[in-house]
Amino acid sequence: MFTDACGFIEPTLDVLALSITTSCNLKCDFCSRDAGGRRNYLTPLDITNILNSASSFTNLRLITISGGEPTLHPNFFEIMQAAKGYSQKLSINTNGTTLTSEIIRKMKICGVTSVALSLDSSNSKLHDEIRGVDGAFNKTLSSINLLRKNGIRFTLKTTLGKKNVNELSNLIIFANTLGASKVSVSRTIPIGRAAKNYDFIEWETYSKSLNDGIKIAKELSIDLVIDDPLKIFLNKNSLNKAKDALIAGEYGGCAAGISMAYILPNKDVLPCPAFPYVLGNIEESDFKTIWFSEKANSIRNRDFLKGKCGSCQLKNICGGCRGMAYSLTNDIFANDPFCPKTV
Amino acid sequence: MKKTKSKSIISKNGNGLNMVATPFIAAVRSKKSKVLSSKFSCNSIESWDGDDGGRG
Repeated sequence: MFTDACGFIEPTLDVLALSITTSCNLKCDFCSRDAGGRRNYLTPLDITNILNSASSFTNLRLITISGGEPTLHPNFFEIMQAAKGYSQKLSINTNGTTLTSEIIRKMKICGVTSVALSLDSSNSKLHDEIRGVDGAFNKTLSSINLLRKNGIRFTLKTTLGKKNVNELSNLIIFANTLGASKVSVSRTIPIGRAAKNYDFIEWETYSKSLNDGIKIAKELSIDLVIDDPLKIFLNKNSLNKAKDALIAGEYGGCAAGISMAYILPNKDVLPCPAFPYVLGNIEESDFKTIWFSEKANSIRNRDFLKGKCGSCQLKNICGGCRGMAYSLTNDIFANDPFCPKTV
Repeated sequence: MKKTKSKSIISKNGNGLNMVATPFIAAVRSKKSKVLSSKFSCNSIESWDGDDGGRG
């Protein structure tokens, strides 16, 4: 029933993110997992079962292994081996404080194509404050040097919150000097530990930071990826491009449960790391059954959106952040409260 | 008096009620393929992968 309406978007599943452990050596303000507490792990056998099920219906473009801190998994090497060959690309998402030459050597053996490291400021004190551990910044820089020596490409991922919202431009300049392939930026979603520390950023502050970042990135010719469906509202140019794409029949915006899935160490399947709406558990059903369930199909249908998102003409190219809507309203179809659009 | 063309597309649904859609929406609904474009999506492969499109 959910797939008949015109707002239904085909679930292509390009990116599968595997959170293999809750273990972490940092205490980040915004951690969506509240990692570091009770330890749960996905096993290599879990990985094989999940990926066999996923690859029975799709050609994955990217598998990303994250956590917690994935390198702290006692079977990290076996996990990477288990994931090898199931996707066009294999990426590791790490806080960057634990990488060693030996880990990087094993990454190369397992066909890891890139590493995403977290960096929230070019200011070491601020980064360490956000990450909750002194010295985190310097350790991450050491890891970056190791990656460069070994010829592994890396992306810097940053999450903007109240403390670092004005840091983006400097971070992009810094990333360029470090040789990063790109900077990927997202906003803090109030889930996990972030729900306890959440401090709402004003859209004006956030959009100014991103627009300044776009200019700097363009000047430096470094890629800036903005992980936010609301990016279309950043400026006239982005809005016009979105409208043109919509007229051309393109769909975009929130990828949760459409081109992305996220699996937790307890085997819950989520639509996205920022959207804690459990679609099912691998212990109870296989991944394919969960992915094509009515529950999963419902979140792919933009016709079900409510409020401002529901009446928005741009909903098929945006849809708002479903994680933000759900975390603040407990309704997966509510409008994204962060949307700047006035109706 | 000469009639002017409306910019809106007006159709009738099963209840006989007029449904007004702007050309904007009509254009979208006429398309069959409904696959998310990575260019406009959040959390696409570009967000996680270090590939820089050849920048090196």
